[in-house]
Amino acid sequence: MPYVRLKYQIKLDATVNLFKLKFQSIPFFPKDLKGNDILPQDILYVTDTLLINMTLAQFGQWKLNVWVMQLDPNDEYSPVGGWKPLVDNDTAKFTNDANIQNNLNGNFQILW
Amino acid sequence: MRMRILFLFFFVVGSLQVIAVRAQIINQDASGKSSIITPGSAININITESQIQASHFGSYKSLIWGIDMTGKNSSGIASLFDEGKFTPGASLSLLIGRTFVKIKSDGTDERISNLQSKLADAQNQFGGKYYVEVKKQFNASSLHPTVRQKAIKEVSDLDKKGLPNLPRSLSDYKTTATADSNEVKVINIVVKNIIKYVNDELLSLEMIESYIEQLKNSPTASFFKNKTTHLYARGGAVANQFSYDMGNTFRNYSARFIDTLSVASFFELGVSHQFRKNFVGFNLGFSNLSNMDRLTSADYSYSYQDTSVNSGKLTKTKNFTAYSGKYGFYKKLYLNADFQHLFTIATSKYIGIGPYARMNLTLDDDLVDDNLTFGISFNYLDGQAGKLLGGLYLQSSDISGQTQPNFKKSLQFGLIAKFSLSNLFITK
Repeated sequence: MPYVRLKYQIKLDATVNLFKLKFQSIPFFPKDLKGNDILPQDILYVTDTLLINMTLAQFGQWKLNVWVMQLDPNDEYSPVGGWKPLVDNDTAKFTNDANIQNNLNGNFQILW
Repeated sequence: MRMRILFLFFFVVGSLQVIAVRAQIINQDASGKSSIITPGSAININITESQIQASHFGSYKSLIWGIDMTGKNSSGIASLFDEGKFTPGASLSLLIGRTFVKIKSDGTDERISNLQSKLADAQNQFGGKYYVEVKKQFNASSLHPTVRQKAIKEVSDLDKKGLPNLPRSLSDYKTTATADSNEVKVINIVVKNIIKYVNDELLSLEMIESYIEQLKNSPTASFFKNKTTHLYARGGAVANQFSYDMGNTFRNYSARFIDTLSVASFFELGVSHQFRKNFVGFNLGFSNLSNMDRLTSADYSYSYQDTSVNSGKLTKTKNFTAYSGKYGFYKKLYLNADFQHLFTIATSKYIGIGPYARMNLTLDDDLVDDNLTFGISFNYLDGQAGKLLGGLYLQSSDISGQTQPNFKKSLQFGLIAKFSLSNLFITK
């Protein structure tokens, strides 16, 4: 039942411009780029991986962390278990200087 | 007095608005000008020139707008807020423009991204259909309702290991919903039907996944070239109030020293461009202004004896600066160019260094000659907070020697303190 609720935390230097952010091809527009948690209510269907498409412009440090929580479609999509991180959370893949790496595209495994 | 009210109005309004606005210039010459702009807001104090500047530029989607105000005090920064000491020099300019952000990725990334999006959409649709199919198949069976619900949950959960693995997960499925052998047989039949459904549905998804895997073998760039460009039009007015010295042929104080207010105007078109850690800006403008800055200044002290007092001698003294010379208005065309490169000194800490030039072509040679200003500036930027904290500049106000043949005398060295009250650089 990998219907999930998504939580992500994005932290950008003021010099970094978030050009595009999509999870599972759905655009997201974070209101807070200083690192506060954002909890969209969108329900996504993912299985073992989550698709991320992020493109940044300009320069400066960026960091992204993502978690998902399973929802039970047989029980009015009520949450099941806690937040599960992506395998690559907190690795060099998910943080860099936009002057060196300014995109993050791919399917990233979920640590169920 | 009017000038003081005008300045205080600018300062107070600027201070109130600065929280909600966001833009300012990156580079800054001795007169507080730059053709490079970026979202953000700040109050800049040019300590050397005794000049205070508030820049307020907002952005909405790709539109940018802004206001820039400058007040200058000839008597020293400490007296900027003292009564009547800020003249001469105050300017107000308005800006409107548009921002373009261009990202150049390689085609492979775009194709992978598009296919991944299609796959995600297909998966999202498949998820719902899978649960519906599981429920439909089990609801059509003769299973006891309690067993049925347990089996539905178990089979629904089998997609957790990934869609490509779902047929295998279904094949390997051993129900724990019941121990009754007849009910287990029914469940196995239902699962076989579900496997057939899933295999059919996954065919199209597998084709997409297979193509993505092929594309992933191609090298992809971790850095996409990107450029941010602001095109803008800026116009404004420059007001100067000063005492003009008519010359010593006038024997009366009030006839000789006249309070003079000149209001000049300017309009310019500019482009500000950023790529990686480089900023470059140009603007071309037309101005109709006075030659007040070319007049000769002198400090005076004027004493007046109050004869209404007969017990002793009461004298009023007034210290002031007056300007003399041929005064008038003239028109000029100008081209401003600025460049800054940011050097990283620590994580998210930068020093910006770059030259700037101001070319002025006078359309009325009687009052002012053409001249070329050239300078180099250094600015410190805290990238994490997006705040410029200050800078230095070294400038020759007449490098061509038209009005000041002595190069050393044309040099100005300045120190600028910047109070950035909102983040710079954020464009949305």
